[in-house]
Amino acid sequence: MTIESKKDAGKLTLTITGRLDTSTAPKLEEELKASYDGVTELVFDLAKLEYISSAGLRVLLSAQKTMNKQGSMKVINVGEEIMEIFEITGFTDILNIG
Amino acid sequence: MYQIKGKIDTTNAAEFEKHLMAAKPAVIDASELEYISSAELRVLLKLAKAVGDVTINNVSNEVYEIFEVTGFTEILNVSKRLKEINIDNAVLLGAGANGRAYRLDDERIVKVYNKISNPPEKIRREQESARRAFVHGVPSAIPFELVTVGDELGMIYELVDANTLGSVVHNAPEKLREYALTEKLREYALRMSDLMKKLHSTEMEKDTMPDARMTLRLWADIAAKSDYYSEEDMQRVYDLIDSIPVRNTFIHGDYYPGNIMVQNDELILIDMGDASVGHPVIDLLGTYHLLSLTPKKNPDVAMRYLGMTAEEAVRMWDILIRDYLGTDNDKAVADLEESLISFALIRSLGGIVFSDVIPEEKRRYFSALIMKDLLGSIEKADMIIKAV
Repeated sequence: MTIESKKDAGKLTLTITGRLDTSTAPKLEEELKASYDGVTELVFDLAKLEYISSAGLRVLLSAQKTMNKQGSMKVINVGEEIMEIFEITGFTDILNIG
Repeated sequence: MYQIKGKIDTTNAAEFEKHLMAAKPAVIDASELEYISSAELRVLLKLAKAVGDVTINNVSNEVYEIFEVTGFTEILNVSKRLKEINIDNAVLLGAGANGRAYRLDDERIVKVYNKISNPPEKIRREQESARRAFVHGVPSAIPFELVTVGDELGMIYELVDANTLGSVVHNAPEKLREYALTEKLREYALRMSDLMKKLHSTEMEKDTMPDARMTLRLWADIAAKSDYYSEEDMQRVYDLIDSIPVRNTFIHGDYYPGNIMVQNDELILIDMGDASVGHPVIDLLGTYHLLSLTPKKNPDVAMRYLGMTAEEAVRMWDILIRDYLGTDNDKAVADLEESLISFALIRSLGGIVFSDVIPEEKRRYFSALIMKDLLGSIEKADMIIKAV
């Protein structure tokens, strides 16, 4: 998994490529913890995300909780397979998917 | 079982209506229904008005979509036809009293439920609870979907490729034995306590999960049905259960090292069958029972269900409960444990009735002892309720 990070004033866009699973989720969590400061708009671009496990979903959930306090969060370019997992798990009700 | 099948249109709708309204079924099987017309929907609406609650099972994906688009899923209890899974080539991961688990591929397992102890509504409740827990951030496996496996029901879960917490603590290399018994055990006991505190402060939406006292009532019901206990004593047990305050926070219901996996250093809970909401004492009583009371009384069985020795289990409980209660005062901890005993023994009252390790002639004798201990500490029961 690779994370591409782009910051534009208070807006942070993270583009995730590859698999977000139990072995890679901690890396994303670290990246997030280091960058939350001053972010009011967090965007996850998932166009190149191939797979997400429960560990990855938990990172998104905790990011959502953090952003609820300091701004907003959006998930964009969600592919069909990832969307199916969001639907099955009920994440479509929690995340702002655009 | 009332079945609807084939194709209903304007030419035979009248006949279908006559037949259906004469039978007035509350449950309809749609396993052979591939299409549904507006004429048929109208008749079903009429039936719903006449009968009240109408359930339609085994609906195909296509027909379900029509129900959904037309808003009928709000009027009728519609449930989808389940996918069939073949496990001939799947590797058996483990088997327990409730069923078996098979590995389907690198990412998924299927848990197949024994029919006798698992009515469909219990499995659906587990699915619902597992989903709710997951979206509230409870570290657990993704519950994917309900399926059929032969004539049994199964649930596809995400594969948690890891060892149980019990075996992680127990199976340290020989030269690290001392370390494992001290530092590692301590670390995991504290992490178990942390996770428990997190679970017990996770608020669920109102009326979306079962009341955790239900499990205790089931144990008490089993006890009451036997002739081991007097009605007056059982009444005191039921009163004790009713005295547990209602809360809307998460309860796992079977929180012990055999149900906690260590995956990439993250603790993941498995087995959501008893997930519910309620007062923390209901989780604590189970953990106390399995980590302390049972290993002390029956050291030989600890390895079998905990993956760790009785000595390790008892030490783990002691560290966990001190951290959870936030006290290191020996007297305070001993008092609170005694207060927990009444609650913990409710499980034993029912458990001994059909125990397969204790011969029948001894069960009556033991059951009297359990009831005596339970009633003996019932005066103190209030302490733990107030402390957590």
